[in-house]
Amino acid sequence: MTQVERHKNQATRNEEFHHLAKDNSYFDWAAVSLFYAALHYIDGYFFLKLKTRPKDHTNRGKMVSQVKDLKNIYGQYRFLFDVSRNIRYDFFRPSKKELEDLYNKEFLAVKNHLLSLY
Amino acid sequence: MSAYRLGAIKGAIEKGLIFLSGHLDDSEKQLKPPAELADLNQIEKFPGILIRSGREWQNPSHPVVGYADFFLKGHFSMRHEIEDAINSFREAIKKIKGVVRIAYSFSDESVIIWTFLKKFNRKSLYQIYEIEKNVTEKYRSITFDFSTFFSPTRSIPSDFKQEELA
Repeated sequence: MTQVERHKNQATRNEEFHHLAKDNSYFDWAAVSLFYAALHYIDGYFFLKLKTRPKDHTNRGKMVSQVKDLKNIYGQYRFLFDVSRNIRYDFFRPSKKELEDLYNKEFLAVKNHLLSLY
Repeated sequence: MSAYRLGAIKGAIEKGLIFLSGHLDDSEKQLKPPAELADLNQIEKFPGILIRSGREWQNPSHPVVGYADFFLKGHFSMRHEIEDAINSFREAIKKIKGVVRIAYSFSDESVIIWTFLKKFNRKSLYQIYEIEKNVTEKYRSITFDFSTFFSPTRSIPSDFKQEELA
């Protein structure tokens, strides 16, 4: 399995976990898993195109904001990042509706855009 | 001499932090350092560093030039640029509904900026991200680490500065 395939595989597993968590009313971790699924789609792209991977979240955010192919999903990526961080460290609990919006408006936008670039 | 370096040197001279002496090339002469500061005999009376032109200036490994480069890039020009970026971000962000404060910390070429919202708000978040993109685009030499928190009272690390905006 190539490095790019490993990233895509992990993204798929994280998305599957999102559905499991959502079905069991763990909306917080369902949302966090969407951020990490998006992260692996992005890292797979960086490895495919640039043969590198971001060293941390700061570096990844900078690259997403500056790489021409990814600029137009910066907002969706940042949204997923902020929601994930607020859940993990600051007790934010998204409602079912907010989680569904996160999946449909942010995650799918990132996923579909990245898959179109692979 | 690049416009970047000229600007940095000019600013440092105005603040009395560096002095020019020796043979100056045409671009350096335009800096018009005060005559008394250009006198080598006066150097010890002032804190700061000396930049000489000629062979020393041409040699990037010369300790004087190396120190000048380090000083100008790390402690003068970048700090000024980072403060400018934070001001620019603050002016734009305070117009967004629900933003109550910002907190920030910076070092060398990077800055961490936290924005605090009254509560989770999809529209405000996307307005914040648009500002982040603009600031990142404008100040490309700075590495930004942005985060937004959905709680107005969230605590901050002790080395952060904070400003109330609402």
